[in-house]
Amino acid sequence: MVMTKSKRKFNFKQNAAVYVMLIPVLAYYIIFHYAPMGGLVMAFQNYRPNLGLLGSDWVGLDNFSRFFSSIYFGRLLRNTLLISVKDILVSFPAAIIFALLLNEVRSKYFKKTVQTISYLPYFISMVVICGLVMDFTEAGGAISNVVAALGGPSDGLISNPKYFQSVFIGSNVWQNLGYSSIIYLSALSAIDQEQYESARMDGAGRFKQTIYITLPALATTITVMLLLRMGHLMTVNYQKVILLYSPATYETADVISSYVYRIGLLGQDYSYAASVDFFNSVINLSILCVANWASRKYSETSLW
Amino acid sequence: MKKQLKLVALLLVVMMLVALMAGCNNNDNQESSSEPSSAVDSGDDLEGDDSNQDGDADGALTEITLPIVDETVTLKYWVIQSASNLGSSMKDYGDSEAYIELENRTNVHIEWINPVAGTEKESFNLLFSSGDMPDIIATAAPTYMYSAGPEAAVQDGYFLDVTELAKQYAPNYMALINSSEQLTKDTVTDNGIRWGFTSIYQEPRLGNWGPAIRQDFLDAVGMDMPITYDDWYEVLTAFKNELGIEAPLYIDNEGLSLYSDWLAGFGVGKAFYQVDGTVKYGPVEDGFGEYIETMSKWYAEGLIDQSFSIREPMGMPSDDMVLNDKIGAAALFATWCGNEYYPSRGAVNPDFMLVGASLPVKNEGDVTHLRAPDEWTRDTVTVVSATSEYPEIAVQWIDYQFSEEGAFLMSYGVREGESYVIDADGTPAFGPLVLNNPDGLTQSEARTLYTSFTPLHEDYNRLMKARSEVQLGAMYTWTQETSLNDWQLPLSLTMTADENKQYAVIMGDITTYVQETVVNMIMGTASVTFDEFRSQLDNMGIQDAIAIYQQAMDRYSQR
Repeated sequence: MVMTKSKRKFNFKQNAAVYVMLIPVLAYYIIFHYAPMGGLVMAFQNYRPNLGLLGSDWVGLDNFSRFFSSIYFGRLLRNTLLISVKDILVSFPAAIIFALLLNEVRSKYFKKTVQTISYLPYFISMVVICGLVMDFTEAGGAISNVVAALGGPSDGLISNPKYFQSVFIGSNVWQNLGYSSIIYLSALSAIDQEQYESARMDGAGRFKQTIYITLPALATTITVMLLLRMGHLMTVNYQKVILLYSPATYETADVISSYVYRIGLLGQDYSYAASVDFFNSVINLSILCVANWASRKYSETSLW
Repeated sequence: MKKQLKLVALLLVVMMLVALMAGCNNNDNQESSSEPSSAVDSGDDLEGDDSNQDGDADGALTEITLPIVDETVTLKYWVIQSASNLGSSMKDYGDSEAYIELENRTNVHIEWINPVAGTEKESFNLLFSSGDMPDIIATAAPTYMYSAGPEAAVQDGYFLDVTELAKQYAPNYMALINSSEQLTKDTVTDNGIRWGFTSIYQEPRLGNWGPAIRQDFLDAVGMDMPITYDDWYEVLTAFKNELGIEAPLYIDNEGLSLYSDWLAGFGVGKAFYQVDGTVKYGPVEDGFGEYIETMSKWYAEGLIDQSFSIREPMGMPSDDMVLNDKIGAAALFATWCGNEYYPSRGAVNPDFMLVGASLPVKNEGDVTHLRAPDEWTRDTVTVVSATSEYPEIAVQWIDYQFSEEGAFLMSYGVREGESYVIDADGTPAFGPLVLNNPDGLTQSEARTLYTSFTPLHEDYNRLMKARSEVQLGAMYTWTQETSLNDWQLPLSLTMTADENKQYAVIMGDITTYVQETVVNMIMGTASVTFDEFRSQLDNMGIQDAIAIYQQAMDRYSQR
């Protein structure tokens, strides 16, 4: 994935199979992501399905100003960013550290077992996971009891705004840790063992080996994964938020996308929903561009 | 070896593709409904040979003659059919004997469209944006309704304006409407547009929702049925302290209840209501502050379900909580009352007995003005699509269910002596197939299989007769003299499209604000006092929303 300056030849004959495999992917992106972009004009209209995009009245920036002047705007932006940033700060290093630790394990059998068990939760449906989480963290649930015994609040975690984000991120880590670490494990397996040999002969301990050999080898992978993760900063897995939140926790749980779902979609207010999502995407894109630029400047790795 | 591998690889790819196709559910069978029956002329030819009807000189029918059409016509019908009612024996209402007989009589075949459970609202919304509307749709304001209101739905070309069509093709329904001033008023918009066929009970029926309390618990602590809020406080405290009940009082996830049962005693409703024609909004009234104060005190002392804020939005406790003695009192439907939960529904307590309690009041003898409504019309309005190819057929098919034989068929089914019986006084009632189904079906399932679960012109007596003493007692308690419902806003109140838009913009944020602040105030975690809450609502424009409702109310009064 590293961008080099050399040109690659479009050798159709030799790589025909690969290009053919690319067609459905291209088609998917064009049909479902690029073509519908024209529909963004809905955000500037008072859209009515029977009038269509060409027939609905033009209202300019009304929808946007309605959103910006909502008393919840600040809170939504804050929650969205907080949850996303905290999630990155916690899950991202966790996956790397997990991969590093697992890599050190000698017993192949143990390593494989741990790996399999660790990425099983990823395949469980989100709805099931959220049902489990709510059961465990409501008042009287197993996890709530443990936390209460350690001095936490006694009336449950999931309806407590102070703990919502922790529950959200904690369950994220549990679910995604194993799966996210796979790519790092594969990168780790590609490292030349001779480097370790020579490092050991030079007297480097395990920890120094990690810092000077392993991490630099992973640097490219980490940078790219981080940039990709930044691309989701504003969407923040809102489906999970919707499944876990309740009026009691709107204060810290309500994010931009869940607000849009409530107000815009359940209320058939398509224009409003489109405008807020448009805003969301613009912010997302800018953050990604800045991150990519910073990455290109300070390391040689970037997405484009 | 290589050849074999290639074969295996190819096989795998084919299998994956097949599995992919399996997910494609071909729901819309366009062929059947768009096949133009040669005998059916779905144009504007009223008298022609499209149906064999008798009529007046001007073409209006005086009755629906069967069959409605010579060659079978298929209509698509969107209606929510709950899985628990269908049970395991039915795929959709098409398997119901009442509807099968209806098809035999009318020669109209129905293709049932049942939205996936949990996505009903989304499925309804999609009807408008997908451009593919079924011929008949069961709407229910305000949830299952076009966002800009029924009049806008007609103007925008979704719903068919049936004002004239009903006069021509719906003799039974119109006779019913014209027989009562209230019905005449309640079934059209302010401008007199008839946008659908309101479901109407054969007789007005009593409200069937209200507070209920465990009689056996009351007996165990030796206390009487509570009347005032102070009584309730003592009873709930006893439940908690002496019996160790986990959730003495169950309230819904917004801290309220479906029909303002716990608020009525303080003289307020949970949302919009009217006092002698003046529209008010509960959360800005003083009484609401008293309610919040009482509830937060009860919550702090553990008298209210500690996890109420994360419960399901419908407001009814889960079976598990009721069966396992976790609840002392809640607001419920009448059918939950009695002792049927043990043992057939799985209750653990042999003394289980749930009885209706009157709405709590501040002082004994106070009159309350809000509760679950008595209903003559229902919130269900059956609508014909403006793009339907067979509007006259659809209207006649709907109207037949308002005729005497049609209504009887849908309420009682076809099997005399089995699905229904004729009582000694000549009135019909459910028969053993429904009441004590030999195949183990619950009453709701049997009702769905042999009759229609909710007929358009239901004889509610069939349900009343099937109720036990305790259940009837609950309904009478809830609708006693001191428990009125005169503050309820009229069900058919309509707003213009502009008002609707403005209302939606104001109430969008207000709804969120009220929801979360009420919950936080009750749980004691709110950062505002009640007065700050009220002034914030004023800042957000609640007075404008009240004014909009007031305009709609004034128009209604002038109909």
